[in-house]
Amino acid sequence: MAIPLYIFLCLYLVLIVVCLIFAFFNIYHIIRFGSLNFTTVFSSFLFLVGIIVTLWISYQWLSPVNWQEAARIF
Amino acid sequence: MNPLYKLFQLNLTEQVILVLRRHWFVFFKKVLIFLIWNAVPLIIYAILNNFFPEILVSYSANTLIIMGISAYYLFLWLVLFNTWVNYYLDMWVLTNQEIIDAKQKGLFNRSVARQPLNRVQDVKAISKGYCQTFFHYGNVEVQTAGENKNFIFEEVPNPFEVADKINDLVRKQIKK
Repeated sequence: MAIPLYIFLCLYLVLIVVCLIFAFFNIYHIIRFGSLNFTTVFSSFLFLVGIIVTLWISYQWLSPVNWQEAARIF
Repeated sequence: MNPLYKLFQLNLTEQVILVLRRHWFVFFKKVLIFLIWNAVPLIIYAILNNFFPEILVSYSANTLIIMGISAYYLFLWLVLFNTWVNYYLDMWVLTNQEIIDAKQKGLFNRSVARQPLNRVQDVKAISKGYCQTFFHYGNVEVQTAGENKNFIFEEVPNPFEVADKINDLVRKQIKK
């Protein structure tokens, strides 16, 4: 059975969107209930840098992929 | 002005005596677990490389592995941040008039309970186990009058000093 790679890309993108939604709620919580101070701003900044670096490295690895190609599962 | 006044709507006559969070070692233990989970993809990669090298040669399998690793680290990073948010937002505030217990249980569950000091009946500090004894942290149980459940300051630094402080404030409150 062959599944085109772009199907997996779509699943991956959905997962990233879910991750970003949770990230937003986490940052909202820490700023809303932890107040705006150095600790909350710095930890949120560090978290966002981690997300951006992970996504950037993933993009570097995945951008040359031919998504029309099929992955043979069985 | 201390942002806690706005956050917990404290009276201007109230004086914040202590703001307590769990001991840093409690969060550090979770960071250690996070570091162990970080190594999982590397271990899986080493196993594949040694026992099933043909999988890593396949173009599509390589792409799927990169996406899997990327999603895994994103998720792991999110879990660590969520752990930090829960750690930071769980706090106990002791003022000269009341005790406030603010708890963040997961992402969409936050509770704030408060008790005036004059309702405090008994205060007990407990430090047990190697870690708690060595790093000087533990629980402080505050028993209050009425139907409200007891307050437990969980894994706070210097529990015995905190219990003494609460007892002092309760005594002063009673004298008034």
